Amino acid sequence: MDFLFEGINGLSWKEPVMWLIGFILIYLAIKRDMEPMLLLPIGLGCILVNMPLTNVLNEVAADGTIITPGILDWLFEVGVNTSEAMPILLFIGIGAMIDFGPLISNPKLMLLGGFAQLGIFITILFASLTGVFEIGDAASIGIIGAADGPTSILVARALGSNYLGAITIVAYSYMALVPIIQPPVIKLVTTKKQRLIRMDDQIIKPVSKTVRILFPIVITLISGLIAPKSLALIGFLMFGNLLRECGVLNQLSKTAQNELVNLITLLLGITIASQMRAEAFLSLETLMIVGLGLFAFIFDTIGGVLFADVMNLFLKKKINPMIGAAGISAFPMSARVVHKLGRKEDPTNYLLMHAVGANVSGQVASAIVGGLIIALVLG
Amino acid sequence: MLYLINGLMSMTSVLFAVSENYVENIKKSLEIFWKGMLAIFIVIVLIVAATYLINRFIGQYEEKKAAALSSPSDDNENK
Repeated sequence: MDFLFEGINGLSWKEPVMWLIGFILIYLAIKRDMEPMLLLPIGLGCILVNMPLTNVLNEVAADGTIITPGILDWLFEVGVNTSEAMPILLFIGIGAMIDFGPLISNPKLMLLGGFAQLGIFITILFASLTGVFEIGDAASIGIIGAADGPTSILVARALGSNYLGAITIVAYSYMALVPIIQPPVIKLVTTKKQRLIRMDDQIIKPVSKTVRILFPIVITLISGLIAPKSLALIGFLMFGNLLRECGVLNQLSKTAQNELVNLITLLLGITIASQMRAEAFLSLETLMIVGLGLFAFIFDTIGGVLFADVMNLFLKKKINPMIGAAGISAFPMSARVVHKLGRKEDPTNYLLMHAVGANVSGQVASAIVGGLIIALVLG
Repeated sequence: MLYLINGLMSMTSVLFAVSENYVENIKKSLEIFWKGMLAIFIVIVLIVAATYLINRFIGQYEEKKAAALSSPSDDNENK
């Protein structure tokens, strides 16, 4: 009857701690509605992979050969490790959901998306300064500032980071916490007068169907030529957007936005959880990643807002600098946060469509930065 | 005494190697910083320029097309 106690005998203090982390993630997903599509599968997966002697993970011999394959290790190998398939395919659905209209009618907002990635680079520097992380890990931690789950997963995997599980959890958790993180930072770097700037005179002009079709193709060409390592993400993002805008593939567009996104999200969360094994996750480095991730988000917000101030030095029609904060890739949450802050200062100030323009530009910019970082670290 | 000196020298060389690695990491991260920000700025400026051009030329083309479509009916009315 000893076999009944093998699992219990295999436990150390670390596994129950990981179960607790799993329970917390599930609680946050269900009770607090924080990114439930990701945090719930990750939470349950965290519990699954921290049970000793199960067939959820590979059973490995002493020399490293796999005796019995485990389903989560297989999903990770096929869906993430081999070609980053899951995060890249997810981008088709994300592209199909995005309306680039507000950005196309006011292209200078793209600059805000670019400078709102400042936090990524500052965090890479700070992570290196700690002396704890090698450059590949530091860059993978910095990419948390992309505020985009698939980009974080893709970069961490491409750079062979040892902290993929922690990075993914932190990235998704902070994306859900954007309404808490951004407002105080925005208020810190703006004055009341700046927050009251109206943009009513900058009308969002309608964009023709031809331009909407050309836009994703042009972005694909430019990104592919200048930042080739970003093309997997950008190309698939724009493919999804083209499905949406072409007008002749509505069925595929709907499938991409719904079934494809749901299916991949369902599998991606539990697959990433396979990296949340206690021996790798419970460490000082994980705690540092939590801190550095917050740092990245804060400096992203500051970068976007301050660049908006710089742009205002040259613009006749001023932009409300708060929309610079929407340049991070947390779509559409960040746009809503900025709009809400604007209305708090002046209930008649509608910044939503301008903030959405900056927000979608952040989506594009973060994917490009992901590719650039891979090229710069590995090159 | 010799062992002590050997031990100290090994420690120093390990520390030196570690600190050299640390300095290399910092240099690399600074390089990533400036090159990354410059690269994203260049890509974004190209995308912005391309978008302005597309908006302008497609806009002009569509205006001409709309004008061409409306002018034959104006001629008919005049007759």
